[in-house]
Amino acid sequence: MARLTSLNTLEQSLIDRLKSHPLMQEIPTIPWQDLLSILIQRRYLSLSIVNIYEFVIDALIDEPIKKTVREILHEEYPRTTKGVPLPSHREHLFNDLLHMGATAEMILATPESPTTRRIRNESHQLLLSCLKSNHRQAGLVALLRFWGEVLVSVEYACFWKRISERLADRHTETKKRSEFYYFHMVHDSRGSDVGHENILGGLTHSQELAIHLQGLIQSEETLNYCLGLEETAFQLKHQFYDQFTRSIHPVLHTRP
Amino acid sequence: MLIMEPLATATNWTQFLEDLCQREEHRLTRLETEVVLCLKEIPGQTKSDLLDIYIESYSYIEEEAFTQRLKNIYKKFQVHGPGQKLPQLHKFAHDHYHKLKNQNGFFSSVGLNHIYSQFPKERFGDAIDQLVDGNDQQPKEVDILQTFAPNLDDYARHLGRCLDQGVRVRILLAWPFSEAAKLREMVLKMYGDGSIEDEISIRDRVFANLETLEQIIKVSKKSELMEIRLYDTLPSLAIYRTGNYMLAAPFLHGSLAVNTFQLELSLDSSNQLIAHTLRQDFELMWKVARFFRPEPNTNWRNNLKILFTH
Repeated sequence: MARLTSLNTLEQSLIDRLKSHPLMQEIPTIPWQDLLSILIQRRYLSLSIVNIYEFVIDALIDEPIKKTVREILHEEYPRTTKGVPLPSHREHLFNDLLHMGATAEMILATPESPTTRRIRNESHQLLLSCLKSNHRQAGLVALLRFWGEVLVSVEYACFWKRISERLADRHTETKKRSEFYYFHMVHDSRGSDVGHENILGGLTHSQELAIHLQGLIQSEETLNYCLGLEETAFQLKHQFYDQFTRSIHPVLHTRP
Repeated sequence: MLIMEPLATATNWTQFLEDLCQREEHRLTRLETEVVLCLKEIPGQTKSDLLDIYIESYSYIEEEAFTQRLKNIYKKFQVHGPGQKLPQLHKFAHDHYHKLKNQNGFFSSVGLNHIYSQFPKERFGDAIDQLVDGNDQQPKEVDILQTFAPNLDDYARHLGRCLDQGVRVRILLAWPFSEAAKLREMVLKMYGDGSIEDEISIRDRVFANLETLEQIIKVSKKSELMEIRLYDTLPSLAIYRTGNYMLAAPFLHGSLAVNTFQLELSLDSSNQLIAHTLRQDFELMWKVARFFRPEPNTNWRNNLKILFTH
């Protein structure tokens, strides 16, 4: 339990630091066009997450954990029970951006910035590094959960303050409903400290993975390895947002 | 289908005696059965009275032969106490008869009408139609409480009629992302009989139910009468209710509730022990469950995922 306390303390601290990132602090006043440019750049990380999930499924050994990861991945591509494909979460993301005022051309033609590409590649390298570790399973789950779920929800919660100006969390007469940001903000969220998941009510993706993670952290060495990975995952996210704060006008360098 | 004779089989003394003689453990011959059928319900009958009734009802018989036949009957009913055997035989029969009558009265008073070996598909459909078309004073409500309802499609037409005719429909299903639904799925897979339960995915089956309900909502002009709520706990009984008619079945480890025995209940019974308890539990679940509507032409799966997480 003491191990989980260390993990929970670190996670909370990293979440607070991400929320305190200068860009996150500026969100309430960023012009809409700049905000859309940031979200369009952020979309490249969202698109990459499918490969991250596929990688982890292949790299994991434990079948129950694979099953959880597989189920989360498949939620991204819903179908009816008769097998009819429904709009994917990728499509929801695209439509949310459109409904906030981006054009299809902006979304599709804005190139991935060098920084975004580097962050994406380094995130992948970080995952690869887990394969060489003695704590491979725990590392894969810890990284997937913190990088791909916990921090994602924190990012969207920061952006939601502005997104909610143009999109609603429910069907209304005046605003389109957010089908991507709002729901990912909720169902990806950390939800509770690791080790405090409640069997009643729902588990978020973070909590589903947390249940596996706590079973995998059986030694101080494993714990420290996971702490290190989460710290690095946080740094990568931090660097991603740094690219938008290097000049007075935050997003200038990301424009083609 | 029927695993138990109707509880009120022995509606009168003669019928009871016939049933008693036919029971496997007694194995009375036809001639012995005729003698037993001459027993009167009121005590105090002598052997001579019995013989007279026998001769009048069936045919002439020598007293000695009649006595021998009675001895065989005593033996088969294991009447071997000291003293006269005929009063003992009568008491044996009389006690059983009254015990059964009391049982029947009790079951009837608590509203238990029947027990089926599995879900009576047509019976429930007929009960819905009766509620929709009838002019009686039954509450115009249909309730279904299930983990998922494997037979929901059988009643899609009935439920549509309910809405159109102003009957309120309440559906309580498991929230497909709940830990409780996962637990139920694991139990069915682990202890099932190797048929359908092996491959079951409760998540998919609830989704399929919601898709059926979405279609019903889509075509109904009074779809607001259809209320759906999802729960994240583990109920112990599946309930199908229409007006004062209810089918209740336990969630056993080895099979789906529709494939196990079904208690057929009347909810307007004089003794409300069962009816009140089950209705109260349904209402409690209804209260703690969360409202959900598979609104046609929306991404309702998004709402479903976060139903209990915010």
